[in-house]
Amino acid sequence: MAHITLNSYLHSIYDALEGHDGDETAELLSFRHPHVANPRLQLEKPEGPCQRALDQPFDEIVAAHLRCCWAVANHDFVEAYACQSIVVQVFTREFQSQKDDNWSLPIMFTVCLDLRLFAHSADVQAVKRNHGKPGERLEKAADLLMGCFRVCASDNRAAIEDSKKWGMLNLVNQLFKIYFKINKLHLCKPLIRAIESLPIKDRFSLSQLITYRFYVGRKAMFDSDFKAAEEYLTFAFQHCHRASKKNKRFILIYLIPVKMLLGHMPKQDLLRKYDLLQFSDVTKAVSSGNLLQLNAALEKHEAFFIRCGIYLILEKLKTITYRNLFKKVYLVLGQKHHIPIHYFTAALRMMEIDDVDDDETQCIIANLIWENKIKGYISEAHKLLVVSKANPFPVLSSIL
Amino acid sequence: MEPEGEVPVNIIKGTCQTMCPVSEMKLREREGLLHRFEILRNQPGKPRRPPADPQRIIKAFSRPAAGRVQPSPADIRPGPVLLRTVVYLFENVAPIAERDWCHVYDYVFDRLRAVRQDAVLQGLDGPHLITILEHIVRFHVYAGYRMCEAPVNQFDPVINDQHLLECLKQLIRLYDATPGSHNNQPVFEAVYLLHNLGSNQSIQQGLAVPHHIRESATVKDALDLNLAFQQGNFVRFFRRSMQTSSVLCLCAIHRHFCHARLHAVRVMSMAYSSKTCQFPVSKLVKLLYIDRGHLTELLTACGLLTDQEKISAQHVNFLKAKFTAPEKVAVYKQPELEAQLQKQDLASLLLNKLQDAS
Repeated sequence: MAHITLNSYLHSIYDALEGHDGDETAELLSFRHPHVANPRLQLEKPEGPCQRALDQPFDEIVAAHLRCCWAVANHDFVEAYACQSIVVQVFTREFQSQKDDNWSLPIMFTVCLDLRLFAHSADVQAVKRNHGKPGERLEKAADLLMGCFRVCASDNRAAIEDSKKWGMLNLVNQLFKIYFKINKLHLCKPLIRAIESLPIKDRFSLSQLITYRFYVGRKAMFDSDFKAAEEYLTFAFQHCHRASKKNKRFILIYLIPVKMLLGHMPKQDLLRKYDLLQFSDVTKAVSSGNLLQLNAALEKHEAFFIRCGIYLILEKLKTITYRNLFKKVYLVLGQKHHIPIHYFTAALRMMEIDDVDDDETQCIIANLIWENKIKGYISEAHKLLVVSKANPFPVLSSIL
Repeated sequence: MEPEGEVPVNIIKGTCQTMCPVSEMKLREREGLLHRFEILRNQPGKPRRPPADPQRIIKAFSRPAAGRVQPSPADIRPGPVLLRTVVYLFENVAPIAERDWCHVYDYVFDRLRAVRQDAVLQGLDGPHLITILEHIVRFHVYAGYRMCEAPVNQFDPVINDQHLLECLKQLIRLYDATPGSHNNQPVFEAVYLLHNLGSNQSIQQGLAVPHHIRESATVKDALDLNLAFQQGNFVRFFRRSMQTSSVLCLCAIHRHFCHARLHAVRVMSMAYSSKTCQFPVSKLVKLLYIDRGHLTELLTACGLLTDQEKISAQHVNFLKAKFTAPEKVAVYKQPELEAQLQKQDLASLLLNKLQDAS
């Protein structure tokens, strides 16, 4: 395939299309297939031969694809993206006209995946050359993918086995990847709603379901819905194939903070196995109520945590660290039920929060009581925290 | 190979050298559409169609609509004229002391919108647009505070916020896309963080700004305030807010004060919930930086004081069961901020001529 002539390539496509062979056509339009490295197929102006060999509109699609091969060979991703958008646009129109049939789905998957990848590379290249804003093309690519998505989602007539709805989850996953990259998470919501209302929502391929739940979990985490985040991310982690260690690690980066917020600390073995020792100090600091150590750990691995988008979530661990610190104060004082506020203030000062005073300590405790992390009440007149006789510091996993 | 499509094809280069194109001036003169800020002063008698003052008339915003002819270059003001227009608005119109400043606001709002429109039509970007947008953002942030007590028919905070965010987001994008360092970037990143206080999305964005910007005192403070707000630490939140040295930042954060106070009352209703305990009103006044009258009103709205108690209450008895979330919390101007605003004149504030008084 690496050295075939243009004519035999066009013939193969013709045959694949005649036989409604979506998989074969997809291969021949894919940038993960060796034909793209064939110099004879990297053509600046392939329209003529394509028109002679193929019918409308696939002649246009293939021509744009070959021009795209040419652009990629020249390392011009801005042009490659432009070509690939033509491929997707023309394909979307054709796809819509194929009533009651979904044999073209593999083609859609391929051309859409390449569109997203080229959009990303083009953005990087354009920014480097000072020719555009970051995320500009990715955003436009998302619009094109939405075009495909609408075709799939509105296919209400076909029998379920011929339905284009089977293409929805793949596109949603592609769109998630874009929205997370360009930081437009609010756009995920309608997509999630569309998938959740599908009768076939649990019947997609496992790999697609894993990707989907991974992103929905991250979205839930972002919206501070930690219970839901735990559920989705756990599914993704447990079903992700054991050989895909990289993906498992990627899931853990989000699952671990969520678990910690819910009161489950990761074991050192797990952190070591997945090369995530960045969490190690954080874990120790939170469990022992050591704010000082927590701040140091957050600072040390700041770049990593920010890059992964979990810095904020880890900041939220401070609340739990306060709870653990205050629980220590309670234990050290012999589990009395009336504890003067200034003991807690002293503990916070030991953690080098130098500007803290009793008013702020009371405020921190008040929030912990409000979140049910401490059972009791504060007496302003006596400057006391009065804790409940039974279980004043409930186990975290029991409250959230 | 130069990639194409970087600039819109129908790009116009404006040639209008006045704040208002001659054609529009004539049209509005003829049709009696001049704003009273634009009429030639000291005219003898009272002409039915007063003439425009060419020194004061400014191009009005008109909605682009289908079928409208492409504007001619003579009707579009190039970058320097746009900047001049903004400066004129802030030096001569915004400071006009009227009982109802909303008329001034409406006028400036509209003319700034027309400035942005001209900028878009010419595909303006880079340092020119940055300066213009910085000015416009300052105006919307300031106006959002100044008009916070105004009734909705005079001032719609939602629309003001929409325009504010539109400009602010564009500005932040421009900082990224324009090479060189931008002196005001930290302040406007901070304004973005404070305006959207507590929003995960904006904090995420704030964390992602280049390191030297994030390490600037202004942005650091804004991030700290966000964390204090998110953690519900109202004591720290109010104390740190009041220490904010930038008036602009204080105007941006002010819109969240009422929510922070409501949260405080909600949390305290639970944390201080005891039939026998009392909390001094005077202490709450200090913690929440609110005056007594407004505080007792809030406590009454939350069901913690009765209408009779409200007048003379020295203490409040927080009780979980008594608390009811009010439907709407009123917004009030903040005396500390008023005092800061008194100290400098408006044009300097909007044009950033003085360093922020601290």
